[in-house]
Amino acid sequence: MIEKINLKEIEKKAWTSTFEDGITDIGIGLILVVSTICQMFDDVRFYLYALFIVPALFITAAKKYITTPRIGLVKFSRERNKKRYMLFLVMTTAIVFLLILTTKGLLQKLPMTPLIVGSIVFIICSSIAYFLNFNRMYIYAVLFTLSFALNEITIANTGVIASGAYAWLISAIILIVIGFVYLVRFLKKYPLPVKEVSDVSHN
Amino acid sequence: MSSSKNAPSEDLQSIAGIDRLIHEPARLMIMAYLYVVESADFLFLMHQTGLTHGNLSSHMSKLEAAGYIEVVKEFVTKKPHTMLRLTDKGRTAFRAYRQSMMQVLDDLSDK
Repeated sequence: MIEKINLKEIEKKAWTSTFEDGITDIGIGLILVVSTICQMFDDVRFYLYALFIVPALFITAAKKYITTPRIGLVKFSRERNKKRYMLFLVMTTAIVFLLILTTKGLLQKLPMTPLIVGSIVFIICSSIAYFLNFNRMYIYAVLFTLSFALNEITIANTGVIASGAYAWLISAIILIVIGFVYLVRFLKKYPLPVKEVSDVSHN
Repeated sequence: MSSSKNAPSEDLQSIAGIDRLIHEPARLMIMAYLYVVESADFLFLMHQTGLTHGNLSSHMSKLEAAGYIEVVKEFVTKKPHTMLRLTDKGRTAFRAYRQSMMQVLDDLSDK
């Protein structure tokens, strides 16, 4: 066994295999679709927030009924869970910071507000990519930041909040298409096992 | 006298310490995957290692018989699921194997 076996790479390969299904991409795309709907119907936005349950249900159900029966089940080490907690901490801090700025009205007083909020969006997305080793998310981070900028510019030019919603919709469509491409490749690569292999009856 | 004649030279003593059970490539792969995760099911290991069902089963049986891995029944979304994980003995054996291999490769170095 002269060939070098890198345990970190093995763990990373096992971890990233859980993103091969494109479900996360489609799920994030659906979140953006719901965001678009909320922005388009701004006056009833509060009631539409309930729609965010749709992407959550989709991801949970798809992982359960599409991914797990095909690639199996794995529980990762504590080290991997630490990274998840770190991500949770970074995201919570960023969202709380954003909420404080919004609720205290500080956001309107600050110069270059879109730039500040855009940077926060970028930091959140890049953190997801970094802590989850989900490399496609770096590209999505740029995409979301551009969508955010486009959204803000459109609203500033038209004065209508709903007018900028299409910017999110473009990102959503791109993500859903990428997700479906990954999903189709995943389904071809991992067909449903004919034999019941989840049970170890190896005697 | 004969035993001292057959004994490996002192320079290569480390080779004798290699765990043959782990040294087999397929089992080494299985051990490496189970070492880096908490537990995994049979299907996941099959895909990751590229082994066939029969091959994986046979290697699993050997590792299980040696007490290196254990089969755990867990409930995943209310359904029983068979998960495989390294035992403490297995983890220690894998660490010792890595150590021995590093020593062997170091001893075989031509530098």
